[in-house]
Amino acid sequence: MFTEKIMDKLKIEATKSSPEISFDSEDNLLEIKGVSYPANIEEVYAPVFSWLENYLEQLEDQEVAVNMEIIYFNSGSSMIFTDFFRKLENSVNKGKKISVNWIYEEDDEDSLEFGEDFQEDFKSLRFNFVQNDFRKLDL
Amino acid sequence: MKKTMKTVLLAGRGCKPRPADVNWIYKDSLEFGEDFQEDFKSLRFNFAWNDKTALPDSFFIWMPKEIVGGDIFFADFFEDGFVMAVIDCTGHGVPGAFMTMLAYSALRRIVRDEGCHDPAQILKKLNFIVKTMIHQNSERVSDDGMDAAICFVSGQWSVDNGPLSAVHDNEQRTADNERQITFASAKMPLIYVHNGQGEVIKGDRQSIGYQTADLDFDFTNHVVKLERGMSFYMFSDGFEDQLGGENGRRLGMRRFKNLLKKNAELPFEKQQELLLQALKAYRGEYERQDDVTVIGFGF
Repeated sequence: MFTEKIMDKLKIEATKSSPEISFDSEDNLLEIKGVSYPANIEEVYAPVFSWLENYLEQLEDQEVAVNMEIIYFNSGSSMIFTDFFRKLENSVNKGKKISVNWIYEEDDEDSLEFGEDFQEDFKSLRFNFVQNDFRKLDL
Repeated sequence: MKKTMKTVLLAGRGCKPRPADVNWIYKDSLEFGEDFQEDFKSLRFNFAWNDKTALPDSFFIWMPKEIVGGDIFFADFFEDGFVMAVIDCTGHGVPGAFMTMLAYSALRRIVRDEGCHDPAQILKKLNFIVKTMIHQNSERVSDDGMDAAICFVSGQWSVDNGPLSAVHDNEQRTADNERQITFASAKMPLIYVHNGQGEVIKGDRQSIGYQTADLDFDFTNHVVKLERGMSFYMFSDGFEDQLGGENGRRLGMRRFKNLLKKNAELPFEKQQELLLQALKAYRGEYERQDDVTVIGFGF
Protein backbone atom coordinates (compact mmCIF):
# COMPACT_ATOMS: atom_id res chain seq x y z
CA MET A 1 0.00 0.00 0.00
CA PHE A 2 1.05 3.52 -0.70
CA THR A 3 1.76 5.16 2.61
CA GLU A 4 0.51 8.51 3.74
CA LYS A 5 3.97 9.60 4.71
CA ILE A 6 5.02 12.92 3.28
CA MET A 7 8.60 13.17 2.16
CA ASP A 8 10.45 15.85 4.07
CA LYS A 9 13.23 16.23 1.63
CA LEU A 10 13.87 15.70 -2.01
CA LYS A 11 17.47 15.63 -3.02
CA ILE A 12 18.67 14.98 -6.55
CA GLU A 13 22.34 15.28 -7.30
CA ALA A 14 23.49 17.33 -10.27
CA THR A 15 24.77 15.60 -13.37
CA LYS A 16 26.62 16.99 -16.35
CA SER A 17 23.31 17.93 -17.93
CA SER A 18 20.86 18.25 -15.05
CA PRO A 19 20.71 20.52 -12.02
CA GLU A 20 21.04 19.86 -8.35
CA ILE A 21 17.58 19.82 -6.88
CA SER A 22 16.99 20.11 -3.18
CA PHE A 23 13.51 20.63 -1.83
CA ASP A 24 13.01 20.82 1.90
CA SER A 25 9.54 20.94 3.38
CA GLU A 26 10.82 21.75 6.86
CA ASP A 27 12.68 24.89 5.83
CA ASN A 28 10.16 25.55 3.05
CA LEU A 29 13.05 26.03 0.70
CA LEU A 30 13.05 24.72 -2.87
CA GLU A 31 16.33 25.00 -4.73
CA ILE A 32 17.23 24.23 -8.33
CA LYS A 33 20.79 24.94 -9.20
CA GLY A 34 23.04 24.31 -12.20
CA VAL A 35 22.42 23.44 -15.83
CA SER A 36 19.41 21.73 -17.33
CA TYR A 37 19.47 19.96 -20.67
CA PRO A 38 18.96 16.30 -19.85
CA ALA A 39 18.04 13.92 -22.65
CA ASN A 40 15.62 12.09 -20.36
CA ILE A 41 13.99 15.26 -19.18
CA GLU A 42 10.72 13.70 -18.06
CA GLU A 43 12.51 11.09 -15.99
CA VAL A 44 14.59 13.74 -14.31
CA TYR A 45 11.70 15.98 -13.39
CA ALA A 46 8.95 13.44 -12.68
CA PRO A 47 9.92 13.00 -9.00
CA VAL A 48 10.21 16.75 -8.67
CA PHE A 49 6.63 17.28 -9.72
CA SER A 50 5.19 14.48 -7.64
CA TRP A 51 7.04 15.79 -4.58
CA LEU A 52 5.86 19.30 -5.33
CA GLU A 53 2.23 18.28 -5.63
CA ASN A 54 2.29 16.55 -2.25
CA TYR A 55 4.07 19.48 -0.73
CA LEU A 56 1.73 22.14 -2.09
CA GLU A 57 -1.27 20.15 -0.91
CA GLN A 58 -0.14 20.05 2.67
CA LEU A 59 1.28 23.58 2.65
CA GLU A 60 -0.47 26.06 4.91
CA ASP A 61 0.55 29.65 5.44
CA GLN A 62 4.29 29.20 5.75
CA GLU A 63 6.48 31.41 3.57
CA VAL A 64 8.14 29.44 0.82
CA ALA A 65 11.33 30.49 -0.96
CA VAL A 66 12.17 29.02 -4.34
CA ASN A 67 15.77 29.57 -5.34
CA MET A 68 16.43 29.23 -9.04
CA GLU A 69 20.08 29.45 -9.97
CA ILE A 70 20.24 28.17 -13.50
CA ILE A 71 23.29 28.73 -15.63
CA TYR A 72 21.81 27.21 -18.73
CA PHE A 73 18.52 25.53 -19.64
CA ASN A 74 17.40 24.24 -23.01
CA SER A 75 13.97 24.76 -24.51
CA GLY A 76 12.64 21.47 -23.13
CA SER A 77 13.64 22.58 -19.65
CA SER A 78 12.04 25.91 -20.30
CA MET A 79 8.72 24.10 -20.70
CA ILE A 80 9.37 22.19 -17.49
CA PHE A 81 10.09 25.41 -15.58
CA THR A 82 6.98 26.93 -17.09
CA ASP A 83 4.96 24.03 -15.67
CA PHE A 84 6.75 24.39 -12.37
CA PHE A 85 6.00 28.11 -12.09
CA ARG A 86 2.42 27.54 -13.18
CA LYS A 87 1.91 25.13 -10.30
CA LEU A 88 3.45 27.62 -7.91
CA GLU A 89 1.33 30.43 -9.24
CA ASN A 90 -1.83 28.36 -8.91
CA SER A 91 -0.97 27.87 -5.26
CA VAL A 92 -0.29 31.58 -4.82
CA ASN A 93 -3.72 32.25 -6.27
CA LYS A 94 -5.13 29.96 -3.59
CA GLY A 95 -3.48 32.10 -0.94
CA LYS A 96 -0.13 30.38 -0.43
CA LYS A 97 2.90 32.53 0.24
CA ILE A 98 5.50 31.59 -2.33
CA SER A 99 8.18 33.71 -3.93
CA VAL A 100 10.94 32.95 -6.36
CA ASN A 101 14.50 34.15 -6.06
CA TRP A 102 15.92 34.22 -9.55
CA ILE A 103 19.66 34.14 -9.02
CA TYR A 104 21.90 35.17 -11.88
CA GLU A 105 25.56 35.85 -12.35
CA GLU A 106 26.82 39.38 -12.53
CA ASP A 107 27.01 40.47 -16.19
CA ASP A 108 24.77 37.66 -17.34
CA GLU A 109 22.01 39.77 -18.76
CA ASP A 110 20.58 36.82 -20.70
CA SER A 111 19.83 34.96 -17.46
CA LEU A 112 18.24 38.03 -15.95
CA GLU A 113 16.10 38.39 -19.06
CA PHE A 114 15.00 34.74 -18.91
CA GLY A 115 13.85 35.34 -15.35
CA GLU A 116 12.05 38.53 -16.31
CA ASP A 117 10.29 36.64 -19.09
CA PHE A 118 9.02 34.11 -16.56
CA GLN A 119 7.87 36.92 -14.30
CA GLU A 120 5.91 38.33 -17.21
CA ASP A 121 4.19 34.99 -17.73
CA PHE A 122 3.40 34.47 -14.07
CA LYS A 123 2.43 37.84 -12.76
CA SER A 124 1.02 36.82 -9.42
CA LEU A 125 4.12 34.84 -8.50
CA ARG A 126 6.68 37.21 -7.03
CA PHE A 127 10.16 37.07 -8.54
CA ASN A 128 13.11 38.64 -6.78
CA PHE A 129 16.09 39.13 -9.03
CA VAL A 130 19.26 38.46 -7.13
CA GLN A 131 22.67 39.08 -8.53
CA ASN A 132 25.21 36.54 -7.49
CA ASP A 133 28.66 37.99 -7.96
CA PHE A 134 30.44 35.26 -6.09
CA ARG A 135 31.96 33.88 -9.24
CA LYS A 136 32.44 36.36 -11.99
CA LEU A 137 31.82 35.64 -15.61
CA ASP A 138 34.98 35.50 -17.57
CA LEU A 139 35.00 38.11 -20.28
CA MET B 1 35.80 10.04 -45.90
CA LYS B 2 36.98 12.45 -48.56
CA LYS B 3 35.69 10.18 -51.27
CA THR B 4 32.23 9.96 -49.75
CA MET B 5 32.00 13.72 -49.46
CA LYS B 6 32.75 14.11 -53.11
CA THR B 7 30.05 11.66 -54.09
CA VAL B 8 27.40 13.51 -52.16
CA LEU B 9 28.49 16.84 -53.55
CA LEU B 10 28.35 15.53 -57.08
CA ALA B 11 24.98 13.97 -56.48
CA GLY B 12 23.83 17.32 -55.21
CA ARG B 13 25.06 19.11 -58.31
CA GLY B 14 23.74 16.49 -60.66
CA CYS B 15 20.17 16.66 -59.53
CA LYS B 16 20.11 20.44 -59.08
CA PRO B 17 18.16 20.45 -55.84
CA ARG B 18 16.17 23.48 -54.90
CA PRO B 19 17.46 25.24 -51.80
CA ALA B 20 14.66 23.72 -49.79
CA ASP B 21 15.98 20.29 -50.61
CA VAL B 22 19.42 21.02 -49.33
CA ASN B 23 18.26 20.13 -45.86
CA TRP B 24 17.51 16.65 -47.03
CA ILE B 25 20.88 16.28 -48.63
CA TYR B 26 22.32 17.06 -45.24
CA LYS B 27 19.92 14.68 -43.59
CA ASP B 28 20.92 11.90 -45.94
CA SER B 29 24.50 12.64 -45.17
CA LEU B 30 23.97 12.08 -41.47
CA GLU B 31 24.38 8.38 -41.81
CA PHE B 32 28.02 9.01 -42.55
CA GLY B 33 28.46 10.14 -39.00
CA GLU B 34 29.71 13.10 -37.14
CA ASP B 35 33.09 13.40 -38.81
CA PHE B 36 31.29 13.87 -42.01
CA GLN B 37 29.19 16.58 -40.47
CA GLU B 38 32.24 18.31 -39.12
CA ASP B 39 33.75 18.29 -42.58
CA PHE B 40 30.60 19.55 -44.09
CA LYS B 41 29.78 22.24 -41.65
CA SER B 42 31.47 24.79 -43.82
CA LEU B 43 29.52 23.88 -46.87
CA ARG B 44 27.54 26.81 -48.10
CA PHE B 45 23.91 26.16 -48.73
CA ASN B 46 24.05 27.66 -52.15
CA PHE B 47 26.51 25.06 -53.34
CA ALA B 48 24.01 23.40 -55.60
CA TRP B 49 23.34 26.39 -57.78
CA ASN B 50 26.41 26.00 -59.94
CA ASP B 51 27.48 29.43 -61.20
CA LYS B 52 24.16 31.09 -60.60
CA THR B 53 23.93 31.32 -56.88
CA ALA B 54 20.81 32.24 -55.02
CA LEU B 55 22.58 34.34 -52.44
CA PRO B 56 26.17 34.95 -53.37
CA ASP B 57 26.87 36.59 -50.02
CA SER B 58 25.87 34.02 -47.47
CA PHE B 59 26.95 31.25 -45.18
CA PHE B 60 25.20 28.39 -43.54
CA ILE B 61 26.30 26.61 -40.40
CA TRP B 62 24.29 23.54 -39.55
CA MET B 63 25.66 21.16 -36.95
CA PRO B 64 23.21 18.70 -35.40
CA LYS B 65 24.39 17.42 -32.07
CA GLU B 66 23.22 13.90 -32.64
CA ILE B 67 22.27 11.81 -35.62
CA VAL B 68 18.80 13.22 -35.59
CA GLY B 69 18.87 16.94 -35.21
CA GLY B 70 16.15 19.28 -34.03
CA ASP B 71 17.19 22.28 -36.10
CA ILE B 72 15.78 22.76 -39.56
CA PHE B 73 16.71 25.16 -42.27
CA PHE B 74 14.26 25.93 -45.02
CA ALA B 75 14.42 28.22 -48.03
CA ASP B 76 12.24 28.66 -51.03
CA PHE B 77 12.44 31.14 -53.88
CA PHE B 78 9.58 32.78 -55.72
CA GLU B 79 9.06 35.46 -58.29
CA ASP B 80 8.32 38.08 -55.68
CA GLY B 81 11.12 37.17 -53.32
CA PHE B 82 12.30 34.35 -51.11
CA VAL B 83 11.34 32.81 -47.80
CA MET B 84 13.95 31.60 -45.38
CA ALA B 85 13.28 29.86 -42.08
CA VAL B 86 15.11 28.39 -39.12
CA ILE B 87 13.21 26.11 -36.79
CA ASP B 88 14.37 24.61 -33.51
CA CYS B 89 12.25 21.66 -32.40
CA THR B 90 12.26 20.33 -28.86
CA GLY B 91 12.17 16.67 -28.11
CA HIS B 92 14.85 14.10 -28.62
CA GLY B 93 15.15 10.80 -30.39
CA VAL B 94 12.02 9.61 -32.13
CA PRO B 95 9.67 12.38 -30.91
CA GLY B 96 12.27 14.95 -31.93
CA ALA B 97 12.67 13.41 -35.36
CA PHE B 98 8.93 13.29 -35.75
CA MET B 99 8.69 16.97 -34.90
CA THR B 100 11.30 18.01 -37.44
CA MET B 101 9.58 16.01 -40.17
CA LEU B 102 6.25 17.48 -39.26
CA ALA B 103 7.63 21.01 -39.12
CA TYR B 104 9.36 20.66 -42.42
CA SER B 105 6.38 19.28 -44.28
CA ALA B 106 4.02 21.79 -42.70
CA LEU B 107 6.30 24.63 -43.72
CA ARG B 108 6.54 23.34 -47.25
CA ARG B 109 2.80 23.01 -47.46
CA ILE B 110 2.23 26.55 -46.21
CA VAL B 111 4.93 28.27 -48.22
CA ARG B 112 5.05 26.29 -51.40
CA ASP B 113 1.61 24.77 -51.81
CA GLU B 114 -0.51 27.47 -50.26
CA GLY B 115 1.76 30.24 -51.51
CA CYS B 116 1.82 32.05 -48.18
CA HIS B 117 4.87 34.31 -48.04
CA ASP B 118 3.94 36.48 -45.08
CA PRO B 119 6.16 35.49 -42.12
CA ALA B 120 3.59 36.28 -39.41
CA GLN B 121 0.93 34.34 -41.29
CA ILE B 122 3.29 31.44 -41.90
CA LEU B 123 3.93 31.17 -38.17
CA LYS B 124 0.26 31.26 -37.34
CA LYS B 125 -0.48 28.52 -39.85
CA LEU B 126 2.50 26.50 -38.65
CA ASN B 127 1.25 26.80 -35.10
CA PHE B 128 -2.15 25.52 -36.15
CA ILE B 129 -0.88 22.58 -38.17
CA VAL B 130 1.68 21.44 -35.64
CA LYS B 131 -0.55 21.82 -32.66
CA THR B 132 -3.58 20.12 -34.13
CA MET B 133 -1.48 17.30 -35.53
CA ILE B 134 0.54 16.43 -32.49
CA HIS B 135 -2.11 16.96 -29.89
CA GLN B 136 -4.92 15.07 -31.55
CA ASN B 137 -4.39 12.50 -28.92
CA SER B 138 -4.72 14.27 -25.62
CA GLU B 139 -3.18 11.26 -23.88
CA ARG B 140 0.23 12.34 -25.13
CA VAL B 141 2.59 12.55 -22.22
CA SER B 142 5.25 14.84 -23.53
CA ASP B 143 4.58 18.32 -24.73
CA ASP B 144 6.77 19.20 -27.67
CA GLY B 145 6.88 22.19 -29.90
CA MET B 146 9.26 24.51 -31.62
CA ASP B 147 10.77 27.94 -31.85
CA ALA B 148 10.88 29.40 -35.33
CA ALA B 149 12.13 32.38 -37.28
CA ILE B 150 10.83 33.21 -40.73
CA CYS B 151 11.87 35.94 -43.09
CA PHE B 152 10.71 37.02 -46.49
CA VAL B 153 13.02 39.07 -48.66
CA SER B 154 11.11 40.86 -51.36
CA GLY B 155 12.49 41.78 -54.72
CA GLN B 156 12.07 41.11 -58.38
CA TRP B 157 13.97 37.90 -58.56
CA SER B 158 13.87 36.16 -61.86
CA VAL B 159 13.44 32.45 -61.54
CA ASP B 160 14.06 30.24 -64.53
CA ASN B 161 14.00 26.53 -63.99
CA GLY B 162 15.13 26.87 -60.45
CA PRO B 163 18.26 28.96 -60.15
CA LEU B 164 17.92 32.67 -59.64
CA SER B 165 19.84 35.11 -61.68
CA ALA B 166 22.65 36.65 -59.74
CA VAL B 167 21.98 39.74 -57.68
CA HIS B 168 24.47 41.72 -59.71
CA ASP B 169 22.37 42.00 -62.87
CA ASN B 170 21.73 45.56 -63.98
CA GLU B 171 18.02 44.94 -64.02
CA GLN B 172 18.20 43.92 -60.42
CA ARG B 173 19.75 47.18 -59.34
CA THR B 174 16.56 49.13 -59.92
CA ALA B 175 14.62 46.60 -57.93
CA ASP B 176 17.09 46.93 -55.06
CA ASN B 177 15.44 50.16 -54.00
CA GLU B 178 12.21 48.47 -53.16
CA ARG B 179 13.70 45.49 -51.50
CA GLN B 180 12.89 44.83 -47.89
CA ILE B 181 13.06 42.02 -45.41
CA THR B 182 10.03 41.05 -43.35
CA PHE B 183 10.77 39.04 -40.26
CA ALA B 184 8.55 37.31 -37.72
CA SER B 185 9.48 34.80 -35.10
CA ALA B 186 8.41 32.57 -32.30
CA LYS B 187 11.07 33.03 -29.64
CA MET B 188 13.97 33.30 -32.02
CA PRO B 189 15.78 36.58 -32.65
CA LEU B 190 17.18 38.04 -35.82
CA ILE B 191 20.35 40.09 -35.76
CA TYR B 192 21.34 42.50 -38.46
CA VAL B 193 24.42 44.63 -38.79
CA HIS B 194 24.53 47.87 -40.68
CA ASN B 195 27.27 50.53 -40.63
CA GLY B 196 28.93 48.82 -37.70
CA GLN B 197 25.76 48.78 -35.59
CA GLY B 198 24.23 45.53 -34.48
CA GLU B 199 20.46 45.37 -34.05
CA VAL B 200 18.47 42.58 -32.47
CA ILE B 201 14.86 41.95 -33.39
CA LYS B 202 13.60 39.72 -30.64
CA GLY B 203 10.42 38.40 -32.14
CA ASP B 204 7.38 37.25 -30.22
CA ARG B 205 7.52 35.30 -26.98
CA GLN B 206 5.15 32.67 -28.21
CA SER B 207 6.29 29.17 -29.06
CA ILE B 208 4.64 26.95 -31.60
CA GLY B 209 2.81 23.68 -31.25
CA TYR B 210 2.88 23.21 -27.48
CA GLN B 211 -0.30 22.31 -25.69
CA THR B 212 -0.32 25.79 -24.21
CA ALA B 213 0.32 27.53 -27.54
CA ASP B 214 -2.40 30.00 -28.43
CA LEU B 215 -3.87 29.28 -31.86
CA ASP B 216 -5.28 32.78 -32.14
CA PHE B 217 -1.98 34.44 -31.47
CA ASP B 218 -1.02 36.92 -34.19
CA PHE B 219 2.71 37.10 -34.69
CA THR B 220 4.38 40.42 -35.40
CA ASN B 221 6.01 41.27 -38.70
CA HIS B 222 9.09 43.46 -38.49
CA VAL B 223 10.11 45.20 -41.70
CA VAL B 224 13.61 46.40 -42.48
CA LYS B 225 14.40 48.22 -45.70
CA LEU B 226 17.36 46.63 -47.36
CA GLU B 227 20.43 48.70 -47.97
CA ARG B 228 23.76 47.81 -49.44
CA GLY B 229 26.17 46.48 -46.89
CA MET B 230 23.57 45.09 -44.50
CA SER B 231 24.15 41.65 -43.04
CA PHE B 232 21.44 39.47 -41.56
CA TYR B 233 21.74 36.50 -39.22
CA MET B 234 19.17 33.90 -38.28
CA PHE B 235 20.08 31.25 -35.75
CA SER B 236 18.89 28.69 -33.26
CA ASP B 237 19.94 29.09 -29.63
CA GLY B 238 22.68 26.46 -29.87
CA PHE B 239 25.50 28.90 -30.52
CA GLU B 240 24.78 31.42 -27.77
CA ASP B 241 23.88 28.67 -25.28
CA GLN B 242 27.17 26.82 -25.65
CA LEU B 243 28.76 26.32 -22.27
CA GLY B 244 32.46 26.96 -21.94
CA GLY B 245 34.98 29.61 -21.03
CA GLU B 246 36.76 29.44 -17.70
CA ASN B 247 33.67 28.91 -15.56
CA GLY B 248 31.49 26.82 -17.81
CA ARG B 249 29.05 29.62 -18.49
CA ARG B 250 26.96 30.27 -21.56
CA LEU B 251 28.64 32.02 -24.43
CA GLY B 252 25.72 34.43 -24.26
CA MET B 253 23.84 36.71 -26.57
CA ARG B 254 26.09 39.71 -26.04
CA ARG B 255 29.23 37.85 -26.98
CA PHE B 256 27.51 36.27 -29.97
CA LYS B 257 26.20 39.61 -31.18
CA ASN B 258 29.61 41.20 -30.78
CA LEU B 259 31.17 38.40 -32.80
CA LEU B 260 28.70 38.96 -35.62
CA LYS B 261 29.15 42.71 -35.46
CA LYS B 262 32.92 42.54 -35.45
CA ASN B 263 33.07 40.35 -38.54
CA ALA B 264 30.08 41.61 -40.49
CA GLU B 265 32.18 43.49 -43.03
CA LEU B 266 34.21 40.44 -43.95
CA PRO B 267 33.31 38.05 -46.77
CA PHE B 268 30.68 35.62 -45.54
CA GLU B 269 32.90 32.63 -45.99
CA LYS B 270 35.41 34.24 -43.66
CA GLN B 271 32.70 35.18 -41.16
CA GLN B 272 31.61 31.58 -41.02
CA GLU B 273 35.14 30.40 -40.40
CA LEU B 274 35.64 32.93 -37.60
CA LEU B 275 32.33 32.04 -35.95
CA LEU B 276 33.19 28.37 -35.91
CA GLN B 277 36.65 29.11 -34.56
CA ALA B 278 35.20 31.27 -31.81
CA LEU B 279 32.67 28.61 -30.86
CA LYS B 280 35.30 25.92 -30.70
CA ALA B 281 37.65 28.09 -28.67
CA TYR B 282 34.92 29.01 -26.20
CA ARG B 283 33.68 25.45 -25.87
CA GLY B 284 37.12 24.06 -25.05
CA GLU B 285 36.61 20.70 -23.37
CA TYR B 286 32.88 21.13 -22.81
CA GLU B 287 30.44 19.05 -24.80
CA ARG B 288 28.08 20.53 -27.32
CA GLN B 289 24.66 20.65 -25.65
CA ASP B 290 22.54 21.45 -28.66
CA ASP B 291 22.28 21.68 -32.40
CA VAL B 292 23.94 24.76 -33.80
CA THR B 293 22.49 26.58 -36.78
CA VAL B 294 23.53 30.01 -37.99
CA ILE B 295 22.64 31.51 -41.34
CA GLY B 296 24.18 34.72 -42.51
CA PHE B 297 23.38 36.64 -45.65
CA GLY B 298 23.98 40.10 -46.96
CA PHE B 299 23.17 42.47 -49.77
